[in-house]
Amino acid sequence: MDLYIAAIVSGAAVGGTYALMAVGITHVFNVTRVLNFAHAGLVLWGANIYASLTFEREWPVVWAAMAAIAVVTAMGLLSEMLVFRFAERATPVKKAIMTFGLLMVMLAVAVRIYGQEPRAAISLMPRGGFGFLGTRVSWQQGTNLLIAGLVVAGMGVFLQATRRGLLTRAMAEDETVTQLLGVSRGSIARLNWAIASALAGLTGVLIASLGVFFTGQFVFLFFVGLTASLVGGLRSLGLAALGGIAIGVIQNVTTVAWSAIGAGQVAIFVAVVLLVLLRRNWPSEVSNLAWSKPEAEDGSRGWLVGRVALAIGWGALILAVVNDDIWGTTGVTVLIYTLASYSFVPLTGWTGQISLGQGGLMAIGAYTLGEAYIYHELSFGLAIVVVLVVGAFVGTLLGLLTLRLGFVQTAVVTLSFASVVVAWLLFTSFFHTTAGRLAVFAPSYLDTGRSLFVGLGLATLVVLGALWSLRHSHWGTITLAIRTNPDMVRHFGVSPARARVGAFAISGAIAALAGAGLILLISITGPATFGLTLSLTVLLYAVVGGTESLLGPLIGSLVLIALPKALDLTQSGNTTTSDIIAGVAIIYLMTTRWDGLSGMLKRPASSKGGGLARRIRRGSADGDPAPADDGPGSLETAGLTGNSPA
Amino acid sequence: MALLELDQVSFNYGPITAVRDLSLKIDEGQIVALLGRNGAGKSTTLSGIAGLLKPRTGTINFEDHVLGRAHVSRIAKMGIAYVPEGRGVLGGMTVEENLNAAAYGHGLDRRQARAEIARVVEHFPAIASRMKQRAGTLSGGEQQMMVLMRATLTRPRLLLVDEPGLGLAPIIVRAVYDQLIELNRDEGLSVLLVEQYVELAIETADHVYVLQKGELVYTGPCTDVEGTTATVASFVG
Repeated sequence: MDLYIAAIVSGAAVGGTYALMAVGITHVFNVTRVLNFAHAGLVLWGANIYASLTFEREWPVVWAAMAAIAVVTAMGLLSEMLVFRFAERATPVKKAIMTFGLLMVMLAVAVRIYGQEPRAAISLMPRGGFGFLGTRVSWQQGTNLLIAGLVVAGMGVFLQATRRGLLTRAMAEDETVTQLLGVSRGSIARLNWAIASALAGLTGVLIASLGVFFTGQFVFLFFVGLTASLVGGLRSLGLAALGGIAIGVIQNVTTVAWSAIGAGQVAIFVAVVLLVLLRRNWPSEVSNLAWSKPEAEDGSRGWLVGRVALAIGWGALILAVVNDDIWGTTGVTVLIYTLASYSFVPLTGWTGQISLGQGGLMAIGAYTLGEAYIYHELSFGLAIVVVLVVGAFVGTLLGLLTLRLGFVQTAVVTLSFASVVVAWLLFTSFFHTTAGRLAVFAPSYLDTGRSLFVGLGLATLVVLGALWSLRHSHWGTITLAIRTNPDMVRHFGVSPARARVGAFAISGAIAALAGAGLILLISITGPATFGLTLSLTVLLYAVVGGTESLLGPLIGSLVLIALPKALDLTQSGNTTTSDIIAGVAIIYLMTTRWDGLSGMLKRPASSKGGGLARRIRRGSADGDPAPADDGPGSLETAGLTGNSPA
Repeated sequence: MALLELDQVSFNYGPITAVRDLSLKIDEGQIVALLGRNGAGKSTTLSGIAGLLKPRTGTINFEDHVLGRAHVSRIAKMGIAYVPEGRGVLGGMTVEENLNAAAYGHGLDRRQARAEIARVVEHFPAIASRMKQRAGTLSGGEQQMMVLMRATLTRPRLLLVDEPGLGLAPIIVRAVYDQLIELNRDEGLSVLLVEQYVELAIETADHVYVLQKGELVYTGPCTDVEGTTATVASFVG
């Protein structure tokens, strides 16, 4: 019993940090309708700056904390400028993806400067602690919990009792009406972004003060913070904070009750699934968020040049691999990310679903290959078939689990799935590994970079061909129609659910194949390779390339991996340069081309089709357009429906 | 000099022109009605003056200011209040908070806000007892009264009202119009009114403009209510 009390007390203390994450995420979403992934990056920077100042430069802890919070607040305001000033008219989902790009840039730059090794800082509070219900709580843990409570109370006072707080609530309720009352959206957004960023800096300082921290931890912290935010429906700061503390307690109590590795993550996964499945009514601003329906984006005038450049790029890569086996590794990496990106085409590009769990599916693919090919000694070809089947099966389960969920809920569930795979599943007896370590050596005909490139290249062509056939099949037509108007398709007697789950199954199979390719490349690895950052990275690369076109994955991975290598920009052993380029590219693309780089390869309507289309276009340009109805369109045109569904 | 003047103004939704080459003038203390069928461009015009849409061509002058591409909140601070179609109630906030939002948005402090609220409550005594009630729970008529209170709280020079009678019982519509006339008379508030009730609008207004398919087809004074109503009805139907 004492153990459980201790777990609850220490869990609540850990939960204080989650609560602070959740309050920051909820506050920004409340005011701006932006799901701010960059919050995790700001927290990471707060921790790193504080650690550098206290541990390396020996600043007094209070000054170091204040400096860290000030710098992170400035970074937050800078990111607000990027997200809002340059993308005022972007939909909330586009803005969320832009913050996702910012997060990747922040993570990559932090890795460049501070490295990936665990870091330590001087604790803000003195060593030692106090007894509580028979449990020893450190001063720092107690302080973190206290600060979380004070922050929630302070935010409550700000929102309910100050003039700016009232305007913030008004802006959160109706941006357009509030502006008509003379309130500047920019000033309110800046103020609240600054508050949330300062909160991120403070959270970083408190995390660093708890002991050792490392970069990868912050994506997990964001996921937990987002989960806690969902407890409050991304609206209530108090419930979000309580959700954070509850998650800390659940995590610790489960670890005491069940000693398996990753038990805490399993508990969080179960809690997440129960939360999103049992809660029926979500605030409209949460349920309205959705991956954009296809936009009528025209092609690019330079489409032909773009396609020729793409062909030359791939030709150059193939030549480089043929002539130099060192380039084989780069070529294989490009193909792995190409395959991973293809896993988003049916899922996101065709059916408008989201997955932040592709890293988990890749891990399952890699470990299944090890299981089938090494442990059960199946032939390599048969082992690959097993990988595809298992990937499709797990994808189907994930599809069924998220079938009725909205954008945010699906993102959290899939990210939680990736977390549970990496932290628990890979360590279990499902896979016959030692402490999760996996070793798979490719068969002799694939054991050089060059030969593996050829093998994976053929696999990529097969995937490309299969997706092309699917896209032009009856199923493909229905799938696209579902994304545009699911209710209408239902009227035709077609089940959107079946197509959505089918897309998840195909996506799972392709992601598992990419994971198998990854383990063939690196031969020996552990679960950390497939951490949450991988899930985010592959999604980012896929969106940069474009998920709606089959050319997207080919261009995304080539530009983000092969090009930096060719320009000698990469550091060996990491993808930080690619991540920075991808992050910047995604921010740019969200303000210009929603359909990614592949949109630039799309043939414009003016260069194809004949009579009717051209006559209509000429009519709209020169003729007499019909007047529009007065109505909701007016606000959309003015770019003032920031909270409108994508 | 006119209080508000639109000169050859066009508003677009993307490539589609919703209002074409509209010229319109409102003098100090005048009530002007902008009439037309659904889709004629009336609400678009109000949205454009309030800054929610930017004019594609032409100029909009308000007193000494050229509105041009000025931001919505800045236009509001210049003295143009806009009550959009659907009223724009901040339903999750109390009546008092709705009023305070307008006051604080214009830079008033708490004391000034209280004084202004006390002033406008005199025009809308029925709302005085509802200050702590959530605005979303008010009846349609009360909501319309509240948004008029909120719009006039900051002493605007010009009030843009889009279909104040929409969804209200005729007796309530009459009461809303009486309030508009009272505000115009007592505070010298100029009003640009968009309305479907043609006769009521012409009774209330000093001058009328009629739009059809985004273009101005008739303009004239409302001195002869019956005659003007008949003329306007020939366009509006």
